[in-house]
Amino acid sequence: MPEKEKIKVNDLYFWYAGSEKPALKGITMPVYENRVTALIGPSGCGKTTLLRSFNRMHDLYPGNRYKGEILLDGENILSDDYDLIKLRTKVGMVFQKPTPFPMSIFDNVAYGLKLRGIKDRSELEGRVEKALKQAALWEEVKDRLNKPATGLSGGQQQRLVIARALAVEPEVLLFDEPTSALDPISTSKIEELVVELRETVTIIIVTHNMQQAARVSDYTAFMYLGELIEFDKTDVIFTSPSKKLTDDYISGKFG
Amino acid sequence: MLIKPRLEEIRDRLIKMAEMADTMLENAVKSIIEHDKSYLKIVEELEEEVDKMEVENESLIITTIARYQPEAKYLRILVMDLFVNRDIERIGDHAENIKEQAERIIEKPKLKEYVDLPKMTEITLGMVKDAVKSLETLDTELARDVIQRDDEVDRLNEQIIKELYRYMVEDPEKIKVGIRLITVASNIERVADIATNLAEEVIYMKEGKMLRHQEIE
Repeated sequence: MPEKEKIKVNDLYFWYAGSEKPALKGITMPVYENRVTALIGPSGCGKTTLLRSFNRMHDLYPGNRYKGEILLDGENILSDDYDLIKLRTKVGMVFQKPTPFPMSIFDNVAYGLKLRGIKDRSELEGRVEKALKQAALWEEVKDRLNKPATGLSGGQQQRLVIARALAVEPEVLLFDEPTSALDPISTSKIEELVVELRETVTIIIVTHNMQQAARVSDYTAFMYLGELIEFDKTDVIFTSPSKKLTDDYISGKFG
Repeated sequence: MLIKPRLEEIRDRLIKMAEMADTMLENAVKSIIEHDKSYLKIVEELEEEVDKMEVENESLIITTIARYQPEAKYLRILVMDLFVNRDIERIGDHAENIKEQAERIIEKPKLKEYVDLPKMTEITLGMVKDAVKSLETLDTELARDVIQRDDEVDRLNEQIIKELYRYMVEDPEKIKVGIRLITVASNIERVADIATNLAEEVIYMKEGKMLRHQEIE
């Protein structure tokens, strides 16, 4: 069965404010629906820059500039009239450092729902429970939902953040080095979660840990100095990539 | 553990492939014992499938090693899976060899009511089935038992050669079939050796002990 394109990047360029040199140079690649796509490459290759283009986080800082297209379900999210609120509901993000809000576990997950105007208590409870279950956290917190989120361990906080992102039912989830700050067991749990979540969400993950990309992703994009060097099935990238540069990176010759 | 479903998938595929190779061997020999070419049809049908599976399995195993960085137990299992994969394909090859001999043997009148050949085949098929069974649960006791049976197969092979030799000396007309039957027995004996290898691979997977080329403890 052929893969369905959820996102298509067409000849994307990106300049940080005040910079003449583009941080992204002519990136063209697909992101397939209900698949995990990993962005890998040495520091400074542009993987995080590319990731943050998918929810236009760069727009938060004046002077950043895009050229080219990013099509989400066929619509160009970089166009001036694309609704950014809608974009950030459709495309959620999880960062390296867990960022629980200073409120209860329940309120953390319900936050986005309340912002959208959902007031009905039973609906909120239902959706919070669903999100926490999807994030594999429910069993651990169901008896202390009104306790502060900051009391959770690092790995739990990260799963809480994932639940919070899932509560608004995004179609795409962006993960920016989601386990760099976690211990190996929490890392393993998050990796299994990412693979499971694939069923309901399209996932893009940036990781400097190549082995993590190998374990969790279906497709891998290897980037270097702002360019996309190779994009293929993870099976291929890690056994017989087409480009020598990719092979060198994967086998540890640099980076 | 992300690697576990992949290991199970590989194991299931190897077991399925072994069942096919088993069926090929059983039917190839049966055609000779029953002096009936119709048993060879399924051998032909399964030939291509076994070869195709071998290539697919190899790719799957290598990809799994590349992607999940297995160590210790999982590394042993996956590396041995590569050998098991080759071994099972070789069983299929031997069954094909027997099929080719069978086609010639059946053209001539049946030499005798075979006694040792079916016995040898039965033991060998049992060895293969049990070696594969030991792979399912890494049952090293069963694996060790398989290894012990190889001597009996070797003995029967010798017996067959000696008996056929007498037949051929007494009546040179029988040489044409006799030589082919010795080849068949030789192929079955090789399959028993392969079953022994499979059992040794299972023991390595579980215990990390390599018993190849050694006397069993």
